[in-house]
Amino acid sequence: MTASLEHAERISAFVDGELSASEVDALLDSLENPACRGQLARFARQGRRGCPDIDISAAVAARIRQEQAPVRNRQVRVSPLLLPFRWRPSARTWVAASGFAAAASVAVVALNIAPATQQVDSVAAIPEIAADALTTPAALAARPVLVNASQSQVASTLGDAGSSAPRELVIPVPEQRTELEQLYLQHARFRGGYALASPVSYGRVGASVAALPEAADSGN
Amino acid sequence: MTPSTDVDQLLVERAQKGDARAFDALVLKYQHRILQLVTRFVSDADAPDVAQEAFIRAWRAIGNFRGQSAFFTWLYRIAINTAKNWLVSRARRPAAQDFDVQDAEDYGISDQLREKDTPEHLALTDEINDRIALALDQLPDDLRTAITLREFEGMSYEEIAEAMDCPIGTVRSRIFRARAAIDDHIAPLLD
Repeated sequence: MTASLEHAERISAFVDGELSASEVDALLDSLENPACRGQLARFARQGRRGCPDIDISAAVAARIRQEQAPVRNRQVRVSPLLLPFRWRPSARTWVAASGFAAAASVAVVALNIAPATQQVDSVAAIPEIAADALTTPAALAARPVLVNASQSQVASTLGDAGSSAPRELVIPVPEQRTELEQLYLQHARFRGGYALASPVSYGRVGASVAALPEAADSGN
Repeated sequence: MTPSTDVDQLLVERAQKGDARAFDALVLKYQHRILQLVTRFVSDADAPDVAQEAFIRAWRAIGNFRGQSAFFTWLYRIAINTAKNWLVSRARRPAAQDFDVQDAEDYGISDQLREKDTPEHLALTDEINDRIALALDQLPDDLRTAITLREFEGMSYEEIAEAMDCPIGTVRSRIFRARAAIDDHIAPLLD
């Protein structure tokens, strides 16, 4: 298949840059014909020493069509009823959602466990002085000892209650640790709002109680 | 401004308006010159991909082309940058020397960039040159004169018409017929 003489002559002039502006449309129309495209490729390559015999025009045209494709895709109309089904989360979205769900689960569990841990079932189990303290916190501040020594056999109050010397608390019986812990927790409930502040408060109370036996040993 | 620039500029203006056919004509016209350029930077196997990428970049940037230089010069620079970026992306140092793009084509400076003349390639090139020389010898005098003035002297159609004392249309026809005759001689070597 060869291009017609008219087309071929026009192509030759185009290669030389001697085509008139009025012939451009005819040239572009002729290039729809593969024979004319081949003619132009051969004429353009002719005389070029060492030039590869490769035609990349078709590949370039195909890529240009691909570059234009997204623009056309954006104009596609979609029924509003189908819009909820068009969203397809990516893998990254799923990972982020999983992480958020895990963090939220941990937070919920922590908030549920902590108040139950601090719940005191019976106020009767609270030592007498501590019960007084619940009803009269101002009186508790005036007392030198925090626990009922006669009931729990706690040796306390080293030094003068009225002096400013530091007091030392000794708890030789392990059961007193539980009672003291309950006392602290009841105090926290008396202050109110333990549902939200309890994790921190309970941790602080627990740490204080854990340090008591060493104090008892040193006291002995 | 030469007619070549006029037609190229006309095609560029159409391409800037989204006419892919106009850009396709420019690709067909200049693809071999761009391929010849990039083969001096990259391997023969990579050259088509690099040349293709250069044309795609030109298409994307065609809206920024203001016509302050010839389209081919602008395209040439894009091709060189594309080839250099290709080498950098493969951790190969691009040619250190800097050169003018027109000089590279006119005076063969690009031949210094990469040695690609394998024995097979040289043999084929020599054979093509022999066929072209044979075809020129067999051409009628008026056709041989017209194509020689055009290809070897770089004269315009108007200058050739003046030199040969004939209409421009006649020059155009003679050059076309000379090209077609040469094409018939070398086509079997390229198939």
